Amino acid sequence: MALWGGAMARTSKAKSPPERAFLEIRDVSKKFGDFTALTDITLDIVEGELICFLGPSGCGKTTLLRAIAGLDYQTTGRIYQKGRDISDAPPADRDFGIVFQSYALFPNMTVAKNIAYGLVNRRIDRKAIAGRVQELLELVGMPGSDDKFPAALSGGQQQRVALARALATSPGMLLLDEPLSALDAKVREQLRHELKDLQRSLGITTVMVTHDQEEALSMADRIVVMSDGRIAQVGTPMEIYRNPASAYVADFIGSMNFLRGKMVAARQVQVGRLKIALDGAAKQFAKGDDVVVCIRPEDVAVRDLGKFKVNNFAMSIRDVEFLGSFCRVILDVEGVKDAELTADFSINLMRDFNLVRGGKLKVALPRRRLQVFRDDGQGGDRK
Amino acid sequence: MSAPDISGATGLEPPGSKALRRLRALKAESWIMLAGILAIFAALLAFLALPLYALLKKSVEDDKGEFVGLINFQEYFSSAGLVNSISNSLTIAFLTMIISCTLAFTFAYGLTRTCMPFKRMFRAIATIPILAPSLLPAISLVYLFGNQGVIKGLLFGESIYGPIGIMIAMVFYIFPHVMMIMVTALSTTDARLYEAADALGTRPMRVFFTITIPGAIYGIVSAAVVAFTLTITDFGVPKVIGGQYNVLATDIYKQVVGQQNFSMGAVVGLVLLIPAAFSFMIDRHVQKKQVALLSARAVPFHPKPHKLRDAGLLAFCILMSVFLIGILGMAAFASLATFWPYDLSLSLVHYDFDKVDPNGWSSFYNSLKMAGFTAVIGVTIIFLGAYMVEKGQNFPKLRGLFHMLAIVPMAVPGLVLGLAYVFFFSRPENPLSVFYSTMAILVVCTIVHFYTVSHLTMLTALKQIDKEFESVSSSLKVPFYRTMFRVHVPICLPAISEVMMYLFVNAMTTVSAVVFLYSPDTKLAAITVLNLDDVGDTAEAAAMSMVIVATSITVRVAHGLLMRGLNARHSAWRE
Ligand SMILES: Nc1ncnc2c1ncn2[C@@H]1O[C@H](COP(=O)(O)OP(=O)(O)OP(=O)(O)O)[C@@H](O)[C@H]1O
Ligand SMILES: [Mg+2]
Repeated sequence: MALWGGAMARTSKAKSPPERAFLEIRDVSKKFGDFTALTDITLDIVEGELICFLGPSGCGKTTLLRAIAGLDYQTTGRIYQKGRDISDAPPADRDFGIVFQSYALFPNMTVAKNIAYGLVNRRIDRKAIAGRVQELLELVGMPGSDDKFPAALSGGQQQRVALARALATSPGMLLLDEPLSALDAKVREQLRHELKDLQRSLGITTVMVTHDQEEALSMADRIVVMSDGRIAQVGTPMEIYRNPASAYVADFIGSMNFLRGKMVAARQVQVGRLKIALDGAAKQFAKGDDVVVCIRPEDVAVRDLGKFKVNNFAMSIRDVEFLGSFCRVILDVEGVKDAELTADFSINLMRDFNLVRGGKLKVALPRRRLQVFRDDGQGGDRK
Repeated sequence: MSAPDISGATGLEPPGSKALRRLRALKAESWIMLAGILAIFAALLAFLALPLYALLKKSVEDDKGEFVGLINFQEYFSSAGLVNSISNSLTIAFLTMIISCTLAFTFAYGLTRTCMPFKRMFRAIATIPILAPSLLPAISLVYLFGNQGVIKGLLFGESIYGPIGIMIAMVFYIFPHVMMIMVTALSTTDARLYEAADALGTRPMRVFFTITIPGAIYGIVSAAVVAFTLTITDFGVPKVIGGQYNVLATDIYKQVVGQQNFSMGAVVGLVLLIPAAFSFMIDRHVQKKQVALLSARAVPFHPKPHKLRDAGLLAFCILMSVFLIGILGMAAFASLATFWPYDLSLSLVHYDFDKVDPNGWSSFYNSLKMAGFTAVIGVTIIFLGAYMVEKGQNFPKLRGLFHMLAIVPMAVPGLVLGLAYVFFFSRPENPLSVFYSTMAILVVCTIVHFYTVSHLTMLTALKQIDKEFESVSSSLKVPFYRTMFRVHVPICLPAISEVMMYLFVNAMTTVSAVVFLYSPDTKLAAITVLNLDDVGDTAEAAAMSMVIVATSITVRVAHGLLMRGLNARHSAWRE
């Protein structure tokens, strides 16, 4: 990756957040007529981080991004950039570069002209502009493409040019709206890495909108999970994966088993005829509460069952799906009507235990791996 | 054609301090945008809405300008002669609609659904009438079927002066418009429907009535409506060949120019506005449905050879082409024949217009000037207007209102618009009356008259441009107008050129809107045709029509060359 010229250098990633965050979003709501697209969004974005807005289609990610950019104003609420109130400022008075899903490259201009588009307006002399364009082309790994037209570039290349154009004026913040979703899987994965590397080396505060959880998990410093115009959870990818704040988040990120039941005692849930023991995580629930118990497929244990004193259950194997490096096994939970448990087992384990369709086995649901949420109907497909 | 996305309108912030704050935060460029929208909006108000209001007002006033209520209408409806024109107009429009739609549908079916040869040539021939004023087919028919007509016998004693002549000339004149809508309707179909029907062993007749017709029905309705409106509002054809057969369009002319009865003219104008506005609304309604029908992804249809069908439709298209070329050719021959029908040797004597009309050739130069101004000024305003409607960032309500106003001209017949201008601009107390009887008013009137189609063409071109360009531009702190010039204008050049050609050709051929507005100094070529025919210099009228046709063809060819040049130069980035 090319070195980033002196004037462009930025303080590298802020480790300890300053008193005021780089971007503060306070109680932002957005209405389209009677329809509420965003409800009371409050969020701090730290200088130098890559933050992902993640959520299903229509949850308001783009709306929030456009409010940050000033391309569409919020209905209520305020936004501060570096302490400055930019709530009503037009886009030109804010400090950001933006890349769209469609790339939005000007088809009638060459790559070089596209990249220089924002520079020409600043009355910088031609030579400096040409130099800057070269620098950016190298930065995005496309030296020598100056004179090509966008139509002659692949999707991935176009997206790189769009990125270079957004970075040309050295904005303080980069906004990316589903930058990779129009690309095919392989290019997408490669660009993911490059984008992350670039962001890290520039140290530029970046907001990226995506509905692809894998993308968010692999790239983001922090993820904002959104649902119906609200923030469902904010945290690092690991936090969100390991400790989802709600059944909704648990369901949206990764695969998850949902077992619905009732608290029958402190730290004990009745699911069908099974009694599942819980750890401290369940202490907020009282006897009689409807809850949903969650466990990730990879957390279902088979080896060393002796280690786990509780939650050992007999299962029968309904189906086995071979997925390359591991197998996804669908287990019938004995004693729970119509309930199934999905477990991911390594090929090794499959062989050692001779697991085949129709076979039987004992599994443990480790207490520490169980998540418990109030049953609000979210998560899993309720029958 | 569909309404642009102005859904942002619903997102308009409630009024109050916040809106004010944002208004103050607007950059200079937003003020430019606001000023631009307001300017074009004001222009459309002044040159469309207010004149129409003046017309409305005139219809309830007497000759001295006193309010008289509905007396004029009473008088109108108690005059048997005038009311008779309504039924005449409706009859002619209805029959012409049926005939032209049948012919155009068959022709378009040949072009789109068969494997017959020479499709491109047929299509080109079918557009010939656009290049000529509507007076031309009427003059031609006089030569063919008139008292000294070449093939007069074909009418079996019927006179060409009257409904028969009007209808034949009309079918010629409106054929390209109707045919092009039919072609669009028949081209947009899904091949899979036919494959499915085929797989089920459906008989061809049944396929035609259950798939082809329903798939094209909106286009057919739209074409019918256009045929009806064009026929009922055209003035040139019945003027030349109508004889004693009165229709609404000629009534207006007679009331205003002949009897100087302006109030009665206004009443007839309003009567004429009703069917035009009504069919306009049907058309808009149908267009929307058509768009919805198209949005699904379809597999394009490729016809398979079928000997009998292909041969039949080829024969039909040849006959139709003979008719179209024959009409044009007759006019051309008549203009060249030294002394019809006695001396048929060819000469250019009839092109010496100045001998029969002191404003002969100068009217042609006036037309060129008027058409040139209309094309250049018109395309500029229309582009800016469409840009603001489609790409503007602020003021969604104002933009929506402007778009609605821009659609109105389509519903206003040229005669009515011209008459409205007379009432509005001739009043000495109107500061805009300085325009009256200048070239400027002809240009303005023509731009307004042909605004809607141009506006929609431009809008379609702009819609295809990425919506995010404005966002990119403002994020790069580049003002919108710079991006408009550097990006939108180059991308829209084909549409810009097309609109210019459309405006130019229409400005060359139009009669109805300008017939009330010209002065001796600003007389136009098409008006000269009318006058020459009026005083019996029919050969000269035919000659002037041919001059207009030649000019239109030249512009058409220039447009074609320009497009080819553009395509070659921009092949690197144009798909
Ligand atoms: N201009 C608008 N007018 C009315 N409703 C709108 C407008 N823009 C967005 N919406 C609505 O607001 C909601 C959120 O839209 P948004 O574009 O932010 O979703 P998103 O999370 O980005 O979804 P996607 O993944 O599909 O891009 C959607 O239901 C959408 O229909
Ligand atoms: Mg989106």
